[in-house]
Amino acid sequence: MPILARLAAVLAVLALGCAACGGGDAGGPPVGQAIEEFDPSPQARPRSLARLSVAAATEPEATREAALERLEAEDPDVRLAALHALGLTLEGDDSDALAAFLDSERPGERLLAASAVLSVGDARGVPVLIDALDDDRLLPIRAPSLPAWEQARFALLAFTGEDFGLRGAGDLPAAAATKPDWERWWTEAAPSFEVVRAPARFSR
Amino acid sequence: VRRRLLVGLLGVVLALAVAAVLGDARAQSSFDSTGGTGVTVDGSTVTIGVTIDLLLGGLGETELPEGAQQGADELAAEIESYWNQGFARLASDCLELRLSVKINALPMSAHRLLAIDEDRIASVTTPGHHVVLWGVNNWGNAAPPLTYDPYDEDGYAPPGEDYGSPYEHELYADWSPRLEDARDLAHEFGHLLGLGDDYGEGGEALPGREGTLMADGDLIDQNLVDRLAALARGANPDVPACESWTGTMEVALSKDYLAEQSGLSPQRCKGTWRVDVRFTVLPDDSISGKGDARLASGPDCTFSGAQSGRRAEFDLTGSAAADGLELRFQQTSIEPPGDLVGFQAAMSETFAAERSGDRARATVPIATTEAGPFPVTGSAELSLECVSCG
Repeated sequence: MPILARLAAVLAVLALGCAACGGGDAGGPPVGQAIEEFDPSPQARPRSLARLSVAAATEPEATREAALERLEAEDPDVRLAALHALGLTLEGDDSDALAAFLDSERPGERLLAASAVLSVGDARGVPVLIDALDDDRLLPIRAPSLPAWEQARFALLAFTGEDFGLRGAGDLPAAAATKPDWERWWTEAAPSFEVVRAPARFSR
Repeated sequence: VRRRLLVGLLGVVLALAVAAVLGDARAQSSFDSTGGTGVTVDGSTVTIGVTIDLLLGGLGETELPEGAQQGADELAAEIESYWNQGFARLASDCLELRLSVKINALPMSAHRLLAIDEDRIASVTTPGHHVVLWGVNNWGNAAPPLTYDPYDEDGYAPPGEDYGSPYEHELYADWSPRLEDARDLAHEFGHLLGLGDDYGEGGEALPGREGTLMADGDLIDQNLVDRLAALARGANPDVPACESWTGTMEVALSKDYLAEQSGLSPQRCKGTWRVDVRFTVLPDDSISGKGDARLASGPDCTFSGAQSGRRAEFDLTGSAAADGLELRFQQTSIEPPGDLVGFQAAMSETFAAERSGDRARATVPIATTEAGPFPVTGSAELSLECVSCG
């Protein structure tokens, strides 16, 4: 009977396990695959971004691990997807892994890393974001693409508690016009900076 | 006996296991997709109803934040109010759109993944409910908003292209605090109504769409209403279809103040008016519309000092047939008061416009002697174009 009980238990666990994995895994590709197959072309981007979003929502820890493992991928699209996914699932101690991208020559890598590290309180992201306030290069992390200055605007407003007219800036010239004020502020605030998260709907 | 019992029990457990797996697979593929956006029609009132299951609690969380449903209700009211204000402003005798939004706050665990094919997965909850993930992590970081149609081959709607899939399927969207105000929410919600973006890959508004809600602005304009009406009609053929016409009329008039009638020496005033008209042909073929006239030149009078109207408004009524339109103007105001050049003479008679396809023309009669004691002569040519026919 012990053998029987053990066998039955194993099979039952297998059966239940497969039923449960229907939510997180059935139908969906493994998280790593969603990162590696990220396609930034306009036609494929919504599906690629949705796969990353669903993965981050349903399997945050697996997504984080898969993203960390692919940060050094040779393919820049894979690196971008890894940074995007990690930004949504990171833990506080992932900051150093992301900081390596703060001086990347690719604006997408630089700004996703800067936003993510700032979100966990790492001030190294702030000057990168301020510098991008007059950058209109396009990041393939939205469909249609997101201008770099808009990504910088979001992160600065979300995590610094400052404004300098940036919230009302609806285009590149208006955002760029706030850059000198941000630079002056950062000169003074850098040594003692602490993240200030903007209040948001549905926050705990 | 023990061996047979063991084999029998193993068989039962295996059967249960297989049944569980197959049952789950069936559940995955048996989702009865009905569309999260629906359309009901009551006369000229067309209500677009949208139900959203808003997945909350932070990524990977299983519990709802306190006050989540109240927040969801407020979100729904904000979106509803934004769109309905625009709809009310642009309502016509033919069509008044209304939006009804229901947002259910649910924990992340309420959804499941549905394989559409080997490449496409959908996040689903209940048939008839779109799924929106409130995609912000515990640190406040969030991805840009996204709307994805997993039932479309590539899930991609090019800028300027609308899509009917919200009326047939449940769409997936990412919303977050990056939607900062009612305008942002209303824009993103527009995608769940089937509206594509009106801005291009570089962020620039498409030609003619500058300042409007699905581009770079906040305005709900007639273009958006017309596109939504077309989408709604695709989902429900009872949505009334009305022809919308616009046109212009050039009016040149001369009014004679004859000596024998006025007791003065003969006098004359001349002037031209430019008239913009717009009207709708209702489902019963009756016509209802408005006109707005401005004095384009003049009054050029042989006397001085008299005041004359420079702007006039009028109602437009009539009926439509396949080969023509019967129209009548009725002036409702003229500012400032006074009609030295006799504009009222072009407003006096029912007339016919000859229709050719999406265009119509008419020579509007001038009531030479019926606009008061002083005869009016001149011409009034009306040119019309149907902007939503067929």
